[in-house]
Amino acid sequence: MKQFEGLCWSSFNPGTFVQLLNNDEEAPVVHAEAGEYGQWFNLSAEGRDPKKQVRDFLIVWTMPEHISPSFARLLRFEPVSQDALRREVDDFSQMVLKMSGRAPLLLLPLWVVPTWHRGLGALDMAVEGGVGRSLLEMNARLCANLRGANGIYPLNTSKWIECAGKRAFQPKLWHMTRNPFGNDVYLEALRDIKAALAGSAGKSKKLIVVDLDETLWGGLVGEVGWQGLRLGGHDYVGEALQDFQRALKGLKNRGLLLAVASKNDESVALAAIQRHPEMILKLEDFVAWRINWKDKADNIIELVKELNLGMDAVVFIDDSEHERQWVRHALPEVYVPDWPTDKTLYASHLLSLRCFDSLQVSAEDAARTKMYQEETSRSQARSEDASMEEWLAASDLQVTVRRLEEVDLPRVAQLINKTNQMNLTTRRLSELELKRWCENTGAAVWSIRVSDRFGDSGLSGVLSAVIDTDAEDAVRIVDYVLSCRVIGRKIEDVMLHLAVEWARSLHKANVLATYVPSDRNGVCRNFWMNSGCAWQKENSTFVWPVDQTHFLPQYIQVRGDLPDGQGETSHQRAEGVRAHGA
Amino acid sequence: MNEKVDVVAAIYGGIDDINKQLPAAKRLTKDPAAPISAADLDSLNMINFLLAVEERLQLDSNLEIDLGAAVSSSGEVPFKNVAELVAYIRQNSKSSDPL
Repeated sequence: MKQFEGLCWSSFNPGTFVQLLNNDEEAPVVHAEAGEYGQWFNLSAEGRDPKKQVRDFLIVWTMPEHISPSFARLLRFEPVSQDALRREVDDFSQMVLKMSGRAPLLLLPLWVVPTWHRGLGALDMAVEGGVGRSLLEMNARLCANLRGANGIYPLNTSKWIECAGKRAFQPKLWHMTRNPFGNDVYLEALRDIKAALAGSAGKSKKLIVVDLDETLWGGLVGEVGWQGLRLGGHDYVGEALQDFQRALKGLKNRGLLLAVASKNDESVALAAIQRHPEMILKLEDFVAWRINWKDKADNIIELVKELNLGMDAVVFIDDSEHERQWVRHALPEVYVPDWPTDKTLYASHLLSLRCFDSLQVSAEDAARTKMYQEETSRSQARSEDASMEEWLAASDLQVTVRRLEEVDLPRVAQLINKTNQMNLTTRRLSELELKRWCENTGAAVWSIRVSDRFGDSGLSGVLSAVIDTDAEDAVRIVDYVLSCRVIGRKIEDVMLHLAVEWARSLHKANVLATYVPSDRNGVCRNFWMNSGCAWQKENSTFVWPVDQTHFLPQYIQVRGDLPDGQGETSHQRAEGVRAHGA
Repeated sequence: MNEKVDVVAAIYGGIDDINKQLPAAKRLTKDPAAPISAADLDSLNMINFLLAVEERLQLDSNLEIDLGAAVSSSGEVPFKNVAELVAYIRQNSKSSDPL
């Protein structure tokens, strides 16, 4: 994973935090600089900051009494106007919005007050001038003001304070070094920040492979039968295991895929999943399973292959230390968390993992399991058909092409950042960077939606292209990204066709696509090698001459914003293009 | 001071804490002869280290000492290594437990 570079600006001395962040050995590696504390506001003043742009992230960490003079007075129990408090929060929000342009990500720990400050005691949350109540309202207002801003993420500082307990605030440190927090707060903060950075680079986990016996349920199903399993009922362990299943189901709702790797007889284990009345997880919650007596590492390899994922997208959960150690050894890219022996801790342990953190959530995430199950149906149907062409023709494949709109930006950025295989350059960039890049280069960006008779795969592809700055008679493809779920359905050809037609509409002579190899995008190279493009080995570039028509596959219906402005299109258009080229 | 108080353990705990802030090449070693001076730790790190030791002594042994007072305005401290810090603590601390 790449090293992240950033800057930490704060209203207190951030030296300790920055040192901890920079020297923490867990991935990803981070290098942050500490801004001159108390001078953070200079960042918002145009032209006063020597460091105009920060490469990856900016952390803006302030204490409320340093930002809001009214709140400082409130802490001294002086009368304060609520309007003034709100105005000061709004002013700060404006500064943050202005500062956010300086980095792709702006991380903003929310305001806290020292735990020893009891405010007005029992009255504190009840009356308008309460410290806790005012702070709650200020944080809510700040979040509301920043809602929808690209690349700004308010962080829950209170959680770090709770984790640090009594050591969270250290008055002596404050008086000696102008640092209010104990290291335990910073250690929690840096773990969350690193998880956010990893998520921004598409490194959040996508698949949870879980064991069955003593993990999803208590007991060995092969020994006691599904009727004898410990699950639910008036039993604290059984109820804890149900909670664990609920937690897994919750992650599935967030877009994680669930799979099973278990050493059992398949029919016996599946009967337990299907027939045990206390099971929270149903068979349809799992996207795949390997229930057999084979090596679990081999089973995970098969699952990953079936689901077309990378090994580094996998988390493996098993109660057996032996199995965990073996999978760690055999598959070092798979994340195998330590696992508690106490089953009542399973759910909390799962929900405390940071490896699922992502900075983007899309409608496609929630429907991911269904989409993979549809893909399984496709694979089964495909195996029964005579040929790929016939199968595709019978699948009623529809592609909707749309020029990039604000509403699609999160999913488009997510695809660019998470897709490893069908990705021409594997460049990564945040929503804000993508937006800025479009504005600065005049790039054309299309989102590609795919559906067929088996289901809707949603926004599954991104194509972006610019007029080439070196060869002005050419259009250059920059992003050529397709979700692994729809690879091989000729959507690749639709995207190339789109680029060729855009170049034609601009009267350009060639379409160029420079392939940047990674350890995962060989499939993309294979497509381009077989695409009919000329291959310039010396600069790793594929060339399609626009005077040569690129045919759309006849059986794909393409609709939407097409380059020549004709709008809606379908079979007829495909036929027309074919006829034109023939 | 109660001789049973494990001052060395508190110092080594403080070393664990401060090492999290330091690059690998600059980390302190847990050894009585390990140097502790302004040359090894900048003033921020020195204060963080000494306050971590101070907190451990208080929490683990009810031993009160103001190690912050040992740091001069220029960041200098009156000990050069772990052994000298142990001696400094033994001379300047008081136990809040009735002996």
